[in-house]
Amino acid sequence: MKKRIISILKYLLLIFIVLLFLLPIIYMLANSFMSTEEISEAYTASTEHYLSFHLIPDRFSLEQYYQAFLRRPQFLKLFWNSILITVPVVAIQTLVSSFAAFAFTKFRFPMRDALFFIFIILLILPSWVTMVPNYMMIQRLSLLDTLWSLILPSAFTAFGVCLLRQYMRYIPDETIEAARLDGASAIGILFKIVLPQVKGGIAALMILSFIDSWNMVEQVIVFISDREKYPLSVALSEYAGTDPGIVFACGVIFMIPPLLLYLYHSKEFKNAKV
Amino acid sequence: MMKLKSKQAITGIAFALPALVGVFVFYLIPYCISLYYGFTLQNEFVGLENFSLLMRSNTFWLSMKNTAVFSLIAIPLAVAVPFLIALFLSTFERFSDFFSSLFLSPLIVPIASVIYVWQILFSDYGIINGILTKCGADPVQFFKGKWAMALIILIFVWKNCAYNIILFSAGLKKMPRDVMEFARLDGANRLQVITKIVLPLLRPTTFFVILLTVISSFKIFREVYLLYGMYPDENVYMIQHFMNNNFANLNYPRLSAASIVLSVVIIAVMLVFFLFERRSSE
Amino acid sequence: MKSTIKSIIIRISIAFLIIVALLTYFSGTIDNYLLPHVSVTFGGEGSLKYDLQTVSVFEENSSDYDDSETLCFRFECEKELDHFVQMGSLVSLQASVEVAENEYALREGAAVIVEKREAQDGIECTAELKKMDIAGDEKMPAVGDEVLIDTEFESQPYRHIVMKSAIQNGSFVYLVTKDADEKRYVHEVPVTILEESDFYAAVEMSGDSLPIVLSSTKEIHDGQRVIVDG
Repeated sequence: MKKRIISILKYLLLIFIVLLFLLPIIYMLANSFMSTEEISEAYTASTEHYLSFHLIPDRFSLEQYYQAFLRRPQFLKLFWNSILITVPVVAIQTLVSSFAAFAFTKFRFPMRDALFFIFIILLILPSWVTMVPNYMMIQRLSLLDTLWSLILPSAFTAFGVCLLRQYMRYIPDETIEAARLDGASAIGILFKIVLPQVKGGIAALMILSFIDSWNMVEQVIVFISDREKYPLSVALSEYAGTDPGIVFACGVIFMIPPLLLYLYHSKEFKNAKV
Repeated sequence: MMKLKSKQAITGIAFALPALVGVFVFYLIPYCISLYYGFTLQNEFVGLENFSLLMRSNTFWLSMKNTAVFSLIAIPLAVAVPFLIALFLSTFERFSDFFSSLFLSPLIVPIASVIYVWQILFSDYGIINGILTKCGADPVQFFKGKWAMALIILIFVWKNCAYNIILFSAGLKKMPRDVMEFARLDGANRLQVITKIVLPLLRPTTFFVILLTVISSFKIFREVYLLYGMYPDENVYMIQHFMNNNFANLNYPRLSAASIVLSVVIIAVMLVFFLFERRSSE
Repeated sequence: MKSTIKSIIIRISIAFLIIVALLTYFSGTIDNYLLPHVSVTFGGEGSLKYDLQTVSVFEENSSDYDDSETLCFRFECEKELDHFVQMGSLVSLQASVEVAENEYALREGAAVIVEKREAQDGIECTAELKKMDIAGDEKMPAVGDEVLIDTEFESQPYRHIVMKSAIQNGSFVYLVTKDADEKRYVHEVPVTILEESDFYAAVEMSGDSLPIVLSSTKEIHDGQRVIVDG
């Protein structure tokens, strides 16, 4: 009996914890199905009374999505800015890091460890430090105010190399040596033998770097002055001020790409072993 | 044999080259340029002038203080809370994949998407304050004063728990169950099992989790900016704010000096951390 | 099993991107279809300009004292020029001069108005041209020669000159403002007409240098969202 109560309590606690994590997201999802009228009624700031917890729509409505998709061309354009920044970053980062991590783990060449040390240092340097050199180079290449100024520095961070190296270390040298003796080329070994064994690492890298650039803020407000080129990660918060009626639906739409990528990789990502 | 080795070296360098070029072009070379800016003022060598100017800047110290306070509270919390949750999860016999996906959702959902929910929850006349007043407590101004920092820490922990729980859970899963059973039989209580057996075995995982949490703690500016804008309450004025405001008036000497000082500080702190990790794992 | 989930997700992603791409591509078109299109003009400082263009024939000077060196001609002009055609004001002209047998050339000159009287639907003026006011040629226009009068009068400077067709009901104009999202809205702004010419009017209004709606494909009202052409 006592055991039973404890296990019920445990499940209650589990549900409570999960709800705590999910609440803001559920709240956003539920609110995205309210009409813009209902939203402005519920959340107009006032000093008269406190906002109330308003989770379930009075009437299910797709108005916010209709507004966001069909009546706000600006919103969709900014959405594409986010895609145009993030996809190249993830693609370049994954490809370049795979090659480099392979080189740093399974090849011997002069200065290897010293060069890798640079990557480790860079890994821990925050954007407040690295943005200054980034800016100097972007300015010299006259890339300021273009999307490239956001793509290139993010695509060449040290994160991918360090992460993938961590995974590749566990591949035994013999496997690679055997393939080499079989006459496989280095590129062939990388794509046919190494990468399939580090799927978890690739998944983690793609998801984490996607999320990182999808959420890009600090680089945008320094490197980009043309608001037409802002990605949604910055521009979305401005909708809260000008167009609060559709903010929830915009948030949901903005959430879809990282969610799809995550679902695609979820197996590998969750089984990540470090 | 010699030939094989040199061929290997050439392939290795060729493979590492794209990453190296990127790192040199966008990080290393311009960093050296900023070193030059750090010690000059209008093309004149001024020694440590820029640095002493920086040290006398109140906003710089304010941002340093806030960032330090944030890191010292938020990072331990964002490591400890997921550890406890992971321990709790490990007591379930079967734990479905579905639940661990749910835990990851705060990581997947973009910051900008949920920011409006935070605003509704925590604004002066927001939902939380509504509940507080109903319960008879005084309303709290979450966006001002000490509470602003607390709110930021809460959001940070909420967001970063996700991945850390997954990592800890994976680490706990690999743990040999019989070791714990033996210890339990030997009369060790639960706390002793955790501190004496689980934690040491989890050290590599913990190290990795701390590293990841530190790296993501550097990005807290995103939440602060989206919630409070470029000029927030002075309790959440972060280093990134200081830097961005100096970008706004293109103060290269000061930016370079700050970048140099901060990189030295961070590298020093992290070296100590790495050494500590190596020492304790021996 | 696993691979089918993955392929489903890939399909969803591609479908999502294509839908968003199509919507982005057509969103402009949808708006084009639903919203009124307006053409705009810009107001600005300046003065109203009045053209006087007419044709007449030189006559013999009919003034009291006989001066062979002067010719005169009569012309009619609209009432709105009343303010400009006064005794003594100048009109510029081109006189056709016979330079050789049946060969005419145009000479520029200026004549002085010496007489002015009300006519049926305008003003009739008589102007006097001194022969020496015709630019340097020994050949002078003679009685019966054609004269082309072409003068531009200018009003006093005004702060706002707008096209008359932009003024609705003679009392207000629509100004176009743009919000942070580059969306355009029209606003009704009252105006008072101070002076008008054929196509332009000098008005008193608030709201400097905003585009003014000239015409619209659909009915518009205060606060309406519109698409600005061109």
